Amino acid sequence: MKGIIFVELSEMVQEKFGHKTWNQVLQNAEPESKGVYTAAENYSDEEADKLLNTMSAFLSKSKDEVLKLFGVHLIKAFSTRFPQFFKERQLFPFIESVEPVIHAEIKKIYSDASFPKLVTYYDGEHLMLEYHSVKKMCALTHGLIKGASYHFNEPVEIEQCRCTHNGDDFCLFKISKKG
Amino acid sequence: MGTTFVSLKLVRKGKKMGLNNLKSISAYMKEDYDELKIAYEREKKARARAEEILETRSTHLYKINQQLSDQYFLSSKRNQEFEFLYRVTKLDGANHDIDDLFLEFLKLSSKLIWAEMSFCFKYNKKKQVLLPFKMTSLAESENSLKLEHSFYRGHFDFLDILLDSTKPVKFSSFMKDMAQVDPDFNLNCSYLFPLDLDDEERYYFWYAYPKNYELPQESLDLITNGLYQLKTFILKNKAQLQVLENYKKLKEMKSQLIHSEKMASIGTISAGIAHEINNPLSFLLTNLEVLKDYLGSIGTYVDLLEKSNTGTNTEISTMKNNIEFILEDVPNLLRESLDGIERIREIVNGLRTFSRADDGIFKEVDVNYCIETALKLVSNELKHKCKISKNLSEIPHVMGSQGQLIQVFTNLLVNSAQAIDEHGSIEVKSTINDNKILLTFCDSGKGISKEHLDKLFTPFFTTKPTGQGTGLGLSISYGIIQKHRGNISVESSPGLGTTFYIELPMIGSGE
Repeated sequence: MKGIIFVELSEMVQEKFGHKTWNQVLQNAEPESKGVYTAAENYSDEEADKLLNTMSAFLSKSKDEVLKLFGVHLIKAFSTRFPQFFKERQLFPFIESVEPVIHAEIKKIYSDASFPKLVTYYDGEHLMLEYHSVKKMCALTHGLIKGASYHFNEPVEIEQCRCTHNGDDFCLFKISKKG
Repeated sequence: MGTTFVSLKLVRKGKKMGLNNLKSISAYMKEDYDELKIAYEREKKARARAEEILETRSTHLYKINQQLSDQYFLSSKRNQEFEFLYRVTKLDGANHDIDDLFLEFLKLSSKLIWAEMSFCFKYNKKKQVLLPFKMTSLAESENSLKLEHSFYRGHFDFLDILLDSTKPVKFSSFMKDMAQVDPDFNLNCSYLFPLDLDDEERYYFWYAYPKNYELPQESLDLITNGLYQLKTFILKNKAQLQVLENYKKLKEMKSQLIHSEKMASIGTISAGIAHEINNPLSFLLTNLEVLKDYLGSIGTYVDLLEKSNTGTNTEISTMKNNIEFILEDVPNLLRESLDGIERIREIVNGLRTFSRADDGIFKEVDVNYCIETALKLVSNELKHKCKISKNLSEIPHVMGSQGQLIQVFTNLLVNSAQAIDEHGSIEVKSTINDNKILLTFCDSGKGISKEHLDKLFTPFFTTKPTGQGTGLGLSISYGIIQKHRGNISVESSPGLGTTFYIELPMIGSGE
């Protein structure tokens, strides 16, 4: 997994829960890297999993909740780091641009990065988003959608209609604008 | 995450906990400080790590950049090389002759390796002769002229040492010699590429530079490859020409075959006609002979009658005059008829010889002896108007009919003599060529026109006035040579003379 994810995770925890919490999470999780993360390097998926599990226990939140929180944070962080990807002025066009534009651009910066496959379709009322990934991090995707909705200041309702955790082939989100 | 944020949080926390005493706050701050320090140390490490990565990446980038520019240089060089090879390939289709081809190649290759001047010369390996061939100069300097002059003035003797090389050679020593000849001559470094076309012909491509210049191996290879391509084109073109020539030969052979077929069918017809004429001719001859005898008897009878009857019956005496005239004239008529029949018989015999109806017995024959005999036979006819030159090599005997061969040679010699109006020459040669005996009868006569050449061996074809030739001589000769499993052919230039070629198989040649 890309180092930037670990850097942002540490940022989020220290910002939201303080240095002590993050120090303790690292102490408990004992990651191989000892928490010295740089955006340029890659770290194992196991390390991410270990951190998530420890955080979940430490913060008394479910893993999915932690991931959702992180998703919201990531959008905030990315909008600062990569303002060029946030040129769209509205939420739905932005979500639709993730796969064809943003992922393609990131691939240019990190040639070894791997992405989930995203499929979107708009039925005139709802934006449907299919998430295909072996990493099964649909909760993070949920958080990212939420974070984007905050960024564009467009409140939405996110309903997960399908989930790989329930035996479906892929996860499906139905995003509807509120009001 | 700054200190302000921590302090505020601390104060808020302190208030919440109801800790107003400064000591507790200080203890809390100490604890927070420790946590921050841990985070700080971690961040420091991360930063150091990031810098390390950055450094590695920078170096990496620099190297990539370097590689890129190297590759760019290399690829533009490759591009030039490809263009060179492509253009060399294109030379093939342009249908150049060898001169143009080499000049174009010199131009292309000089440009590729930046030669100040290039020069091609031809070397004959067998005769060991060097000749200037083509020259080109990038700078169009005076050097090219000087070089060419030097070539003719023989300043290139030094090249003898180099001429054995089959690989590209670099040299400079000769240029010092050149400087002695001409101090302005400033080409101090040369490369010489050999190109062997066959066992005899070798070409040298020479590229010259004003200063010492090291051609990289790939350039040497490239020029060598280009030259190899050039050679392929030349050999291919040669092969194509060969194919064309073979095709022409094949066409000639085809027409010869048609001719032989024609002659064969004429032969068959002639044999039939000769046979059919021979029978009536025989009884005509016999009858005329008998008639001659009978006429003798009638004559005697008339004489006796005259002696016994001395009356003056005018009717009888007129009749007697008539009979006397008849008796006088009839022997002439008979003689003429017999001569005519003799001529017919000769013609028929000739036809039979031509049609091979008359198979002589073949024995070992000395062809040179036959020629000598024929020359003796016709010497009377030849000696006043031609100079005869004999050039007879030692040739093996052939299986054949001596008489028939003498007949052929006599016929050819008489024809030659007749073709010479006042004075000329006849040359007779016998040699061995391509495992066959080749006889040549060459005269300086008036020659045979092209339209007559085709019909020359056809029976009854003659250019002589009616009554002077049967037109059978050459057709009989043709038949005889065919029978000897040989071949007779003719070449002629009107006004210059005619040459007959006779090929005869040697004994045991299996043909």
